[in-house]
Amino acid sequence: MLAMHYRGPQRVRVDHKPMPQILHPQDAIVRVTRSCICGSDLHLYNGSVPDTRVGMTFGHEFTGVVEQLGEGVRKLKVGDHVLVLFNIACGTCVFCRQGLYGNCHESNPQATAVGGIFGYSHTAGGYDGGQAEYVRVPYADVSPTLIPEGMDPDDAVLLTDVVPTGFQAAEMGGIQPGDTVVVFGAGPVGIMAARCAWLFGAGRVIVIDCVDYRLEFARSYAPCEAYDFRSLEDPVVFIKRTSDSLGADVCIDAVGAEAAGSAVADDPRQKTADAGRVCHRAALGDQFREKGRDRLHRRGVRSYRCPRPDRERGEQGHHHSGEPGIGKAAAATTDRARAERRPRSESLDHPPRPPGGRLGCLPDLFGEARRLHQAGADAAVGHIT
Amino acid sequence: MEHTTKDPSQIKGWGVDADPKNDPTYPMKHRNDGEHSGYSWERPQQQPLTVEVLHSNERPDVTSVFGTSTPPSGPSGALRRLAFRYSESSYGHWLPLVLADRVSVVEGVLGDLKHGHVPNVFAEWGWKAEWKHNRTSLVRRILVRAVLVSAAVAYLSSRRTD
Repeated sequence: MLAMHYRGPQRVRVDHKPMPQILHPQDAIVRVTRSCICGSDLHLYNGSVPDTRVGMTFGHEFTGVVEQLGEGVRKLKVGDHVLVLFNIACGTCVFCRQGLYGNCHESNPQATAVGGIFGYSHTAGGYDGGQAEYVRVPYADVSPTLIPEGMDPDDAVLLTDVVPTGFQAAEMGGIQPGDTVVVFGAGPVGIMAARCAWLFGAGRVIVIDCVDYRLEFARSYAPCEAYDFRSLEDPVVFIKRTSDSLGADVCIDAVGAEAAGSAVADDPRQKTADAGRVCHRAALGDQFREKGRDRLHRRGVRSYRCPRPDRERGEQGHHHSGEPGIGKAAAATTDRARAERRPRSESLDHPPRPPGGRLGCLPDLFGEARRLHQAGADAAVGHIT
Repeated sequence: MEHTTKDPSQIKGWGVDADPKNDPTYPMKHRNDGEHSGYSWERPQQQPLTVEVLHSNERPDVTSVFGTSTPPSGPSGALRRLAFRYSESSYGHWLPLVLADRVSVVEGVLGDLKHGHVPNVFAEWGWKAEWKHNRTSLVRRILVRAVLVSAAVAYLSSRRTD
């Protein structure tokens, strides 16, 4: 079969590989129908993830048709069209049973800090990934999910990583109806976080970045306010002023792992994290080295609301996540601290669930994304040719 | 500074996931203190060890299921075996792995040649697409590298003649 081969930093090719085999009773072999290149694949591509061996196949976002099943698989049958989530999880170990699938203890012998991930080096288990014709999917009863009838595979593949990553950022931010949410970074994860902030009832969503076409996309897709931080004299002052001088209720960091992890950024983060709700979800991309992006992160942590003297005891603690990561291995750390809600948000009633529930808005979300993306792609192609 | 979203409730899906009773949403661990009883779960059947699998010294054995891609081999494999004698908290683990990754690039080229395949590194670097879509940056990179290489060659050859 054909598969992507990693040959060294920034060197890849498509080449033949032996067909994957069933190696365990709970394995499935899946014929790939859609596969994505994730921003975090760039870390592997650039050779910066230790134990990325020459000959590996990347790809942790894919959908496919079940071709072959191990004798222990109960929930799938041959011919099922599934979306395969990027984490490999056994569903039975102590971490899986507590919902921490990203830290499954039975899928990655090489490291304990993270569970197995498709196509993400031997530090994440040494599995060949989805940028290939066929993939071996372990624990096929746990992670692969049937694609609902009527859902386009182009949309389904977004549910393997990018949508949940952005959604989880909004969810972990603890957004409440009426909150002002600021998202730093308008990469795919930041844009999804901004879009999902509305699902939690945000009153206002602001995206900050420096790349014009991304801001434009965020503005029309999320839909939200989007600002180029270079055009703002001081983004922190701007955000404070535009939110009644109190700061945002929730800030989501989707700037990137490198910027988010800088030593310079750590200090103000510690100082200010107890002033608001913090959620770091790192979107990775080639912009992270761009001048100003680490500053953007630091500004992010300074844009929360000031702590108020009347906040309840017990809510002040700065909780640094020492628990196993739920989300992405390379990208996510979550710092969370709380302050009480703004009074005006408390006056809002809990909105009724629209008919169709939370899944009801997915087709709109995807349809709009495709329309805008295609328009952007057409414009880009027109510009190049 | 215009507050552009006048009525967010008109946005499709607004508030469908709001749940004021679930705040904070973090932590999302469904705590059952299972860790307190150690490896007490019924472990899935062990995948047969058909290839060499290195395992972190922070755990007792290999996991029930593992990837079989590219098992360790050659000099890079020796470096990886060395690395796995140290824990994930140690540079002794990560630095040999990074070095092994670089060594395995050379092994990859040699392996290609051994199988009679001359790797087209320009295609593997994606220069055709770079030339089409990212020409300025490509040219700049090539020039910078050419200058660095010629400077190194000039320096080394001047030392030899001294």
